[in-house]
Amino acid sequence: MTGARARAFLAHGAGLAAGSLAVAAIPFLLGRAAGHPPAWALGALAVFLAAVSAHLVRLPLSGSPWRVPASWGRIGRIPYAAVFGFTLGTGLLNALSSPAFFLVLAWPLAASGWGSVYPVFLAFALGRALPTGTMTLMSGEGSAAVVRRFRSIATYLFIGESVLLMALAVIWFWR
Amino acid sequence: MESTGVPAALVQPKQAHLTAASVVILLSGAATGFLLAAGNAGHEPAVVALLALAALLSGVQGLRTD
Repeated sequence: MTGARARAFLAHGAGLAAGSLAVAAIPFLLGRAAGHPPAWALGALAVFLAAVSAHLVRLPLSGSPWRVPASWGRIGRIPYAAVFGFTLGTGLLNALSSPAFFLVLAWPLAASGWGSVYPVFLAFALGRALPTGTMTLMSGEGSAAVVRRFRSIATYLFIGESVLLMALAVIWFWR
Repeated sequence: MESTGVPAALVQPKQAHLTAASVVILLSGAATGFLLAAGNAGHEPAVVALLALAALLSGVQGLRTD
């Protein structure tokens, strides 16, 4: 990876983290101002989203109709890479990544402090950075193969996501 | 409506398998949650770790919908 590509990728990663944390701040401040929802409410949301994620309940949760233009896949110049990262990091400006993102968005409303919020949103940013980071490390046809590989892996990630959502639901109902 | 030419009897067992698989997935999650909660791992740091993992999986899945 050349120095310019590495700098562009770092800018992309910083944009992803900034976008993700900016979105986290909104429900966090709302939770502080309006009060925290009860644990059972998060549990009920988690059960519903687990059923959607496991394809037991068929509900289109597609989010914004806007899609990332194919040409954006090339990270390019630093400011562009940062803006691209910020857009993806918000998770709201384009199509919804998965049902679990709604629970991630609801969590800051209930969290006891910012210290319990930012790791979750940085993990989301890391998840978004993994495919682009791998693509940056490779080039040309290798990059296209990586995207195909990630897409095929991503098809099965709903299983782990559904298990985690149900586990969280039980923990919140248990409280 | 135009027929797909696939007999309903061939489609329904596939749907039943999918539903059964979904129920198994959800029950596995519920069992994991019970084990964690019963093992006193239901405190906020554990919840944050599980949520972070879910967020990571959600982030990677974004590639599918972009």
